Amino acid sequence: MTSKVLPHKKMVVVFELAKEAHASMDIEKCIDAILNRVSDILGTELGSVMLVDDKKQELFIKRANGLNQDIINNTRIKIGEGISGWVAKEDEPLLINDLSHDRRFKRYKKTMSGRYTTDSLLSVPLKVGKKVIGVINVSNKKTKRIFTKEDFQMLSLIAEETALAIQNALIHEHAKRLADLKLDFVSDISHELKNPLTVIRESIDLVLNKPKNNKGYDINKILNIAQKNIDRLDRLLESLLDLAQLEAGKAFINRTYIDMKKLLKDCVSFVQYSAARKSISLKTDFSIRYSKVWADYDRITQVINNLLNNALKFTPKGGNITIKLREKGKDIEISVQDTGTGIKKKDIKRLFNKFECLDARDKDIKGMGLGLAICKEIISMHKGRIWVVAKPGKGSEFNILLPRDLRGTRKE
Amino acid sequence: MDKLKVLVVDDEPDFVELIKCRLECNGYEVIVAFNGIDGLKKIKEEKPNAVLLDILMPGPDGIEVLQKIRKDNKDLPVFIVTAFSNQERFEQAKQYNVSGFIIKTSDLKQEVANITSAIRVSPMYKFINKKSTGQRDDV
Repeated sequence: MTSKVLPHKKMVVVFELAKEAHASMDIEKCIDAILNRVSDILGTELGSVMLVDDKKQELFIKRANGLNQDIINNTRIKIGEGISGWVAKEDEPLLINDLSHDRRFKRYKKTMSGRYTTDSLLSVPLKVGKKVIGVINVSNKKTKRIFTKEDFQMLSLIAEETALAIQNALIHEHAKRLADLKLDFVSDISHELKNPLTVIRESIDLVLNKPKNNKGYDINKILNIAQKNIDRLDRLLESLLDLAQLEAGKAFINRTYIDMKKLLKDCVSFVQYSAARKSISLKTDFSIRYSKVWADYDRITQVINNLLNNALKFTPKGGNITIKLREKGKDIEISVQDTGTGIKKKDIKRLFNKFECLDARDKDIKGMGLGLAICKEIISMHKGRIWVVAKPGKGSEFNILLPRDLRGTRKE
Repeated sequence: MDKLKVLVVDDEPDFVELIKCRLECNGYEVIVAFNGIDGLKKIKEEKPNAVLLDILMPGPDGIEVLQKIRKDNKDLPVFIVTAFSNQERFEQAKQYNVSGFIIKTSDLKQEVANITSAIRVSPMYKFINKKSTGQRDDV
């Protein structure tokens, strides 16, 4: 073990450092405490903690000492590439005495843009259990000397003792972020619920305390408004529950062998009346030979109805809506295209996000409700993909790609 | 004295209908517009005595409409209507001399009462009143 060869005094220093790191729940404070102590102990000018981005399989700099903000913000290193990338991939600590003459790594020297005043550096993996969660790097000894074996053991021990503290602080940060998102979501929902509620309350008040001297007063009209808003509340609560169940994996999809052409025709005939009232023409283009898929008829109907209703809502009088069905290799692609108001680029990313779609602060995407977040869940349960191509003023096109058969066998 | 004419500019038909009813109960004549462009047109054509202006509308929003109103008409009482209290928007609107704010989710009866008292103290109202009744501006 590395600890055996370190003198008692140094061991105490390391354990104090670890104690400090474990005491901090704030990820930045936690890492800063580690880096500051490391710089004191090893006498270094540069130090950084890089963390693994699991999705992208990259390392990014979480905190650093002695590096400019530009480098901190923009450095991304693929696992396996560069010095830190090698350390993360191989799960091996690294002591380089002379970077200019190191056969494995000297080619990376020029990418370091003169940041090193010495050619010696240390890079050590941060591990929790068997998993590498990041890398700690130090370089530029103030004495301009190379790192000793003792420095190497010291940093290895520090990494060993603090990796869990970093991991805990990361989990804490993540939990805090989720709590914030939840709060935003709940407050957005409250606003959304409050609007119809106010209208209902106001309507009832107008009926109960019938105003005098008002020619325009029409009790039926007011009661109709109340009813409409009760329905709106009901729909909103229903989609909330639906979404929560889908996300929690509590809703099941009941896959049967369905004819997509028939499903789409049914959906189109369902909205035909609303379209005609707005003089919107509904067109279908089913240039497909074989339109059967394994899917949940009701759920896919729910998705298509949602897309068609959005298209109707955002397409002005006299516009067109086209529903297409085509083959895409082994998959089928459904698209709903409209000549409506389109969607701003900045909103496209937010459309399918339940945390954003309720945001009443942006009227352009208001009214989409939770529908698209639900669509996304349903399509992903079918192992499919849903996306949108749109420009403001140029209409929108919602596309769905569905695999024909999830069971691996294809039936005719 | 003629009824005071109020223009409501808001894209939510239910809210428009209810506030219209409330205002009419309070003796106002109400005209409505469902978007900013139509609202500006009606201000020119119908010359309302006060405007209730929704801050969040598709197309030109309340702030943009308010800026345009203030170009030709410094004193027209404008009340900003909003679905929730957003401090930033309030501050933005305040720069353009607004007479008050109406929160959609609060008690509209009370809000309309507030409008009435705000209109009464506005210079425009004094002017109209003086003209129509020939009295001094001691309202």
